[in-house]
Amino acid sequence: MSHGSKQKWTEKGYEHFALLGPENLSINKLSKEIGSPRASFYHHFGDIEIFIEELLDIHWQINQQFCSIGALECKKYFPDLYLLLEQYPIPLQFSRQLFLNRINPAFNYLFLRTYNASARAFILKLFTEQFDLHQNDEDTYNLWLTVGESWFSRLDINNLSAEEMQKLAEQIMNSVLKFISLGLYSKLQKSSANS
Amino acid sequence: MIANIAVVENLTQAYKKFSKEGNTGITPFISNIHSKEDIINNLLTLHIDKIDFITSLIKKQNSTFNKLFDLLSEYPDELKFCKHLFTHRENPEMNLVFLYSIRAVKPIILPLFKSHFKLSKDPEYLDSIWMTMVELWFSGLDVNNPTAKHMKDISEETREIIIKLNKH
Repeated sequence: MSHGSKQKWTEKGYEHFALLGPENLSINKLSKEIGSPRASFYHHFGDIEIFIEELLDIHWQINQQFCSIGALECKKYFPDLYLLLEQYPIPLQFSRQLFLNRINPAFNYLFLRTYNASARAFILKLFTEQFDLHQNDEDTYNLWLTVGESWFSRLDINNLSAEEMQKLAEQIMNSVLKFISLGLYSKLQKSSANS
Repeated sequence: MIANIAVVENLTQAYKKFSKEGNTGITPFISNIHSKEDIINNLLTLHIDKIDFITSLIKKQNSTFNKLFDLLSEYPDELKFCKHLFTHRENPEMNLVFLYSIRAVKPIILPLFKSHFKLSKDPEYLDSIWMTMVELWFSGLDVNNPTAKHMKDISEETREIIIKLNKH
C-alpha cells in the first residue's frame, strides 16, 4: 500500500476532525469518502489513537508554517492577522476543536503549544502595538490567551471571513480594555510583579 | 471604618457563598452593592488578596509536594472560587483572574511538580505543560471533597498523562 494512500487518510481525517470533531471521526465514513478499504487504515495506523496522534502532528506542522508566514507577512494586528487566518479555515477549525475538546489533555496541550508558538512568533508583538500595551511579556500573553479563549468559544464557523473574525476580536477586546481600565487589573499587575 | 468592615464582612460572606454555590448564592448580596458587575469585581479583588496570602504562606513554609496539599486543604473556599473561575473561562474577566491565580503560584508550585513528575527542563514546553497540568487538575477537582488526599490523588492521576505529553 502506497505512501499516497496513507496521505489520503490523514488529509481527509484532518478535515473530518476539524469539521466534525474528534468524537465523530469514523473509519467507515473516511473509508467511503477516500475510496480505500478499512484494511488500508489498519495497515497504516493500527488503531484510531495512533491515527489521531498523526493528525495532531500534522496540525503542529501546519501551525509552524502559519507562524513562519505570519512573521513574514503580517505587519499589523488589524486586519493582517485575520486576513491570514481566513486563508486557513480548516486548521482554524481544527484548533477550535482542540479548544472545545480540551478536557482531553493531549488536545489541550497541543492547543496551548500552538497558541503559545504563534504568539511568540509574531502575534504578541502585533497585539502589543495595536493596543499600545505597556506591560511585561507574561501579562501580555495572559491577556492574549484570555482574548483567544473567548474568541474560540464564540467563533461562528458558518462565517469565517476576515471581517467577521476581526469584528469578534474587537468586541472581546473592548470588554477586556474596559476591564484593564478598572482598578482590579492594576491590582493584578501589582500583585504579579510582587509574586 | 465600621462601614468598611461591614462591606468586607459582606464580601467575605458573599465570597464564601459564591464559592460554595456558584452564581445562585450571589443574589442576596447584589442588593447591598450597586450592580452585579460591582460585586463580581469586589469578589475578584478579594480573591486576588487571598491568593497572594496563600502564595506567601506556601513560600514561607518552604513546602514539599505532599505538604502542599495539606496546606491547600485549609483553604476550601479559595479552591472552590478558583474552580468557578476555571469553569467560567469564557468570561474574559474571570479568565484573567484565573490565569493570574495560577501564575502567582507557578514559581513555587511548578518546581515541586517538576521534580515530583521528573519533567523536562525546556521552558518552551514547560509553559504549556504547566497550563495543561493545572487545567487537568482543576477539571478533576471535586469541590465537595477538598481534602489533601483527594488533591494528592488527582495530582497523581495527572502524572501519567503529563509524563506522556512531556515526551512530545
